Amino acid sequence: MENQKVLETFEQMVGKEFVQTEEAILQEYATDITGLRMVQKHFGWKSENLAQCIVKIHTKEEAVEVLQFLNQEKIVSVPRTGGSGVCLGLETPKGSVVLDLSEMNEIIEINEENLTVTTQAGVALERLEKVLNKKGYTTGHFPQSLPLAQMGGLVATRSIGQFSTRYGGIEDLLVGIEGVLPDGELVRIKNIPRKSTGPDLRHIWLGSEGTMGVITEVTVKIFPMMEERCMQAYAIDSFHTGLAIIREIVQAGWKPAVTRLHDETEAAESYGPFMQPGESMLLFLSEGPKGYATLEGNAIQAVVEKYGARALGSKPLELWLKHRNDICDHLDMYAKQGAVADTCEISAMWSDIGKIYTEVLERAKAEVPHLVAITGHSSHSYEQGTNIYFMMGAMCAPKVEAAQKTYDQLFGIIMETTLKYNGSICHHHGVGRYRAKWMKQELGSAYPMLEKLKMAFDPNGVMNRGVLLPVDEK
Amino acid sequence: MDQVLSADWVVQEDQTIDLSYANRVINTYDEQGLETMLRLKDADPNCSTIAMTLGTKETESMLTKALALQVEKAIRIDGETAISQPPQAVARILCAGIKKIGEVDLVLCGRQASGSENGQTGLILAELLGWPCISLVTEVLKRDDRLVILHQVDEGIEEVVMGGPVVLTMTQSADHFLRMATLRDMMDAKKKSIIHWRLEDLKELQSVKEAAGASLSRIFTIEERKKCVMVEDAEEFADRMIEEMRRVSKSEGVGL
Ligand SMILES: Cc1cc2nc3c(=O)[nH]c(=O)nc-3n(C[C@H](O)[C@H](O)[C@H](O)COP(=O)(O)OP(=O)(O)OC[C@H]3O[C@@H](n4cnc5c(N)ncnc54)[C@H](O)[C@@H]3O)c2cc1C
Repeated sequence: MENQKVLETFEQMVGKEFVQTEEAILQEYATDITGLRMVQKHFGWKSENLAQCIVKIHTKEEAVEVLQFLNQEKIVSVPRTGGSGVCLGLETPKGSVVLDLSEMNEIIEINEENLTVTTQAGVALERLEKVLNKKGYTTGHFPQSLPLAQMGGLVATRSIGQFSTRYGGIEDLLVGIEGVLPDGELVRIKNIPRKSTGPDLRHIWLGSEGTMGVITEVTVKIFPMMEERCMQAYAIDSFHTGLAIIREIVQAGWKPAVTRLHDETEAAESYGPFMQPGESMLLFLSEGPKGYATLEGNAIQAVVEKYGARALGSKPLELWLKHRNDICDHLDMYAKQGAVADTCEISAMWSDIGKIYTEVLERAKAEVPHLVAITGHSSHSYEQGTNIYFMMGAMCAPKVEAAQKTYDQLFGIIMETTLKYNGSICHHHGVGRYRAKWMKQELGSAYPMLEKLKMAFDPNGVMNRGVLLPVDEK
Repeated sequence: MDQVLSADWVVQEDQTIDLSYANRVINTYDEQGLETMLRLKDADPNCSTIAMTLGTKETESMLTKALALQVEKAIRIDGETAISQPPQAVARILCAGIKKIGEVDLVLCGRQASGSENGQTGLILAELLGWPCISLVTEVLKRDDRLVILHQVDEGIEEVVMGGPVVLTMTQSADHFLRMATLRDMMDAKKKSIIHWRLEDLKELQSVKEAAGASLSRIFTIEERKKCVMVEDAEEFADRMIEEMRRVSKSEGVGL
């Protein structure tokens, strides 16, 4: 169907004012906030692959109609909500259609008996959290992108928050979900605390990154605000000792909501006056019903003291709490300084995580010519392992291609090293288009399962093509 | 200063504020000055570059950063840059330092410090040097032997073309950010030495206190007079307004 007819069809479906075609807006929607694109934009990058239009969806009925039409016409679409993705998952293939659900933003029900909240996909997490706080509840979900992300995107990327040891990732919080499949079928998975009725279908949506359909509504857990908090920070002689401490605490059964270990560079950068040269920083925040936080706090203290950690009080935690999401106000800060900078989060078992950290730092320092910094912290821990969130930056010639080369080199080192030690190439940002090229190695013999799933749900390959599975593969 | 909690901006008995836990970073305006100097050097490799600060040993980390960014010389003049140090005294010391350096054509300072925010040091410094001063500068270019200086005025941006010597106080501009030092340059810079002058080394300087002409007698917080209520959403705002008007009208005996 010719472009004009496509636009007219959408205008009939959702209203003329909700179909946008201005080039400047299409350019704005052509990508997400991946560090690579931030610096490339600074060097003059413009997308050559613009969508043909942006369709703003306000109801599930509209979503059904739009998806049916797209499937029938075999037009690729890119669903989006907050636009805070960082893996090129929102990058528009040429002539595609962006499905913007950010105005589908009603908080449908706060259920105080079952402790759930049901929202439309475009509800901003920060707004939801504020509304819940007023009633004495919290989502328990605090990604650093709290001021940016929305409910649909959070589920679609398998996001995680800074208080994850206590509250879990979004997969632990999602109770029920509704979405539209690529052929336009509206499906709902009802709210149930747990069940044994075959595979958990919620997991098709969790981490689907727009490739399996469009999420329209979600029900997530809520929690009463905790009565007690205990905050403690410690300096420790090495990152590896810090990892051992966290392992011991978590494996003993404690769940300090915030459990963080910053390596010596990050510790010096953010908490300089507290640190001695070479020390890493451990941050613990325990919260729970009365009595719990103190009990957990004492148990943590006993473990860290055994390892000779130096107590620093609660001030570093207060600073962290206050400033933890500041970056959202100046996302392109490093790009403006001409640096190729980004973050990359991986995970691995306890037996391997330390090796990955050390080798990534060694390789980056030896191989990347104009490295500014490479640092790491562990921020989400489990009985079996933890994540490392690498932050890296390097200078390059102020050219789009040079930025790509530097970025690929930095990222490549992390991906290769992680795979070498059987880690996962992505702990919570999602795969997007950028990491899809490593998915075969990531999934190994399970890769065909993902291919078959995609084939079954989206045989025409119209949903966010190129995300999760590289485009030449499927 | 980086990351200071608002609750900690409390003046203590000795007129100081305890910021000991706060990381020291180069403030935004000084970064503008530094980047402007580096850009002038990029354009004209023959000009020489010096970073100078007044401060305690801890401030040397900022000079090391300047050296890593390829500033040729770094000088630290010994002294307290506490909030209690009046700008007259700071300018006096910097003036003596600049005179000791000798031939200087251009001095770039930040428009104000992040602690005291006096916004006077650059202007007083120019006065003491007997040079012109242009404030709120966003960009400096070199054209032939002249400086093209863009600075903020009430009506917008003014362009001034002039020769040195001149003192400029720098402010932010949308696309001017301090470049980053690579890890290698940072490591090399740590091996470079920073020139250290004590106040006694500065011949021009007699008595800082005397020269300052003023000394700080008290810092205090102005007592809050008005009571504000922050209301975030529009619906709540309307409800609160009506409630408040009812309350006032009741207490003043007016019908509503
Ligand atoms: C500064 C910063 C900090 C961050 N910190 C964290 C963090 O702490 N934890 C974390 O997990 N992530 C973090 N992220 C990444 C990002 O915020 C998350 O991936 C977030 O979940 C994306 O939500 P969004 O609403 O912005 O989604 P978008 O960016 O709009 O979309 C992300 C992906 O989800 C798909 N999608 C969006 N909406 C739908 C829908 N309704 N149906 C189907 N698919 C959809 C899109 O196609 C895309 O593939 C951070 C990002 C930034 C920029």
